[in-house]
Amino acid sequence: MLESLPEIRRMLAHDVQAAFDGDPASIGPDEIIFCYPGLEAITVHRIAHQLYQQQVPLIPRIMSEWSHGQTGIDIHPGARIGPSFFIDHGTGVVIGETTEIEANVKVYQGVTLGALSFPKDGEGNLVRGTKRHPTIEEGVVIYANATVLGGDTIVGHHSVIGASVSLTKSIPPNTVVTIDKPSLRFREAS
Amino acid sequence: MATDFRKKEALSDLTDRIVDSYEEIGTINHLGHCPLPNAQEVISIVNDIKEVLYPGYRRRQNLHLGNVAYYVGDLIDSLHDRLTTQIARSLRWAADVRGEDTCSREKIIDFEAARTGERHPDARVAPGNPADARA
Repeated sequence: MLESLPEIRRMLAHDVQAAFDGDPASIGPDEIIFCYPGLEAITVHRIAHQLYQQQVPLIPRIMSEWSHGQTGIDIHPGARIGPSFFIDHGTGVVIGETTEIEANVKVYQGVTLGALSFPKDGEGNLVRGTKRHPTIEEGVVIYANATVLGGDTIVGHHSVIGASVSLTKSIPPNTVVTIDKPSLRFREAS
Repeated sequence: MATDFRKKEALSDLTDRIVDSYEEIGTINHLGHCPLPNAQEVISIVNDIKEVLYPGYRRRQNLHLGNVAYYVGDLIDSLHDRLTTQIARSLRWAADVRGEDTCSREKIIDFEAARTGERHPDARVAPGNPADARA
């Protein structure tokens, strides 16, 4: 695992740059390394994922759930996440075990990359080891509280998923998905 | 706050009932001579790895190119030992879950051999690539 630290550093340098490029409030890499929970979460994830790939039991989950408690960001160590990944704000983000995320993806707080209902075998036990979580192609942005579910769901590259969208089917590249704005009522406060 | 001696005298009975429950409900305690991975140690390992990944940002300050190799070298050496121990424990846990008798004296030696890179001829470690999973 320690052999992979130089490569993890290279990946994290891209993640820091992605945070700077993706957040106009950031004043520079130092602030991101000190302060950003998204970088903290992806740092621990890249360590835990390395151990997960080496089929080390328990320890990757101990790491990821500790990070979950620290940051409010829940990334299963099995998730495959490409370079230049940025989680802005972060609280409430959930990324499931079989999620695949390509390069240059940005997600906001409350985003869930999750599974649909779990299939069971003939004896009623959960079927494990299948792809249950979505694939997010390169350059996708997913705004706050959006939910993308299902192992067959592919979000095409450079698409944008609007806030609070719930998506359970694939969309082609360069697609913008939004929900109709709810009507608002205004009245004078009593 | 003053101790209520009447209640303290009942604590031994409470302790007995709790310990009895370890036999009655064996699914949420791990008692034996083969320890599980240590969560606090794993967290300490993560924090040390972050110190290696982001030198100068976390704990140790006043690092420069003239001293950073000493500092990181010491961390890496420590990480290697501690991570290997935790990985060996987790592999043994996985073998136990599969019903293998890994906690007998002979098997403990086998796991220690795997941990230190000395392959015991009868070493029974997790199928797949436990040796590859060394730190």
